[in-house]
Amino acid sequence: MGILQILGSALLVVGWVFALTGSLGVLRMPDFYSRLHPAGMTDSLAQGFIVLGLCLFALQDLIPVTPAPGELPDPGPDLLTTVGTFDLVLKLILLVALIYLTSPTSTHAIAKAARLDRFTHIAVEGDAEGSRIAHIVVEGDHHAPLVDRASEVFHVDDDNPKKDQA
Amino acid sequence: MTQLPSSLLALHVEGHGPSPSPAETMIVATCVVLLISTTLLLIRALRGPTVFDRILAVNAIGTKAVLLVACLAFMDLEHGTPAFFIDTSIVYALINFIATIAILKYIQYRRLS
Repeated sequence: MGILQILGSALLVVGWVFALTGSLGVLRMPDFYSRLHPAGMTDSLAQGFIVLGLCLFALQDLIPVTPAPGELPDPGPDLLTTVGTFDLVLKLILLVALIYLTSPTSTHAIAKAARLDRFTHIAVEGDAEGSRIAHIVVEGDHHAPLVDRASEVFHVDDDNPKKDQA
Repeated sequence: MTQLPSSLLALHVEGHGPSPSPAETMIVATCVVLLISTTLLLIRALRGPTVFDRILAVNAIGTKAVLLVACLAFMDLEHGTPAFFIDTSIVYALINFIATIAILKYIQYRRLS
């Protein structure tokens, strides 16, 4: 086990902690907006640490093994190993960048959809009240009655589009 | 045995060999941790009182699956070519994002167009 693999293992363990605490938070938190926090944090942090640890595991191939006394020194990685390792690391970095872009975006989309639920009141099977997200009191929210202003956001009829007022 | 450069074959042949190296043990343990955390999220997805809880949990499960595929690539690093698995997990990350947005759009507008 080389030095990079030991460092990578440490990063993996940090990733374990974030993954487990995040999942436990999603399971145990009291309401929906609280659950958004562990889900969003761990999606970003745990995957960052774990993929970074995997990067270090891959880079270990590039370090020549210290020869035992009496052996010939390791000539180091050949060209194919070097190219393969850098290809692997590049793809892992691309994966991290991709999740760092998409994970907060989808968390934000879920949160915004939940906030808009006071207008949409998504129906729930077997529950006449529908989705109860709209009844969660948000600290600092304005207490004016929430009225669906006559916007066309939710009632767009694509087949018979209204003409513009101008 | 023919000269197959397959990582699966290498795993099978080495199955009766010496015990796994510490590095491989770490990778397997990471897979186990990811599976445990997926189980916890799955409980929330099944139980979750509102539809948004379920979407949140399924989105997180997708991210965990991406990590799991990336970890599977490293289980046989000495013999296999892990880059294929990383391709798979990149595609899975894209599909996960698009699926979340599509489901949200569907439950809001009751249509996808």
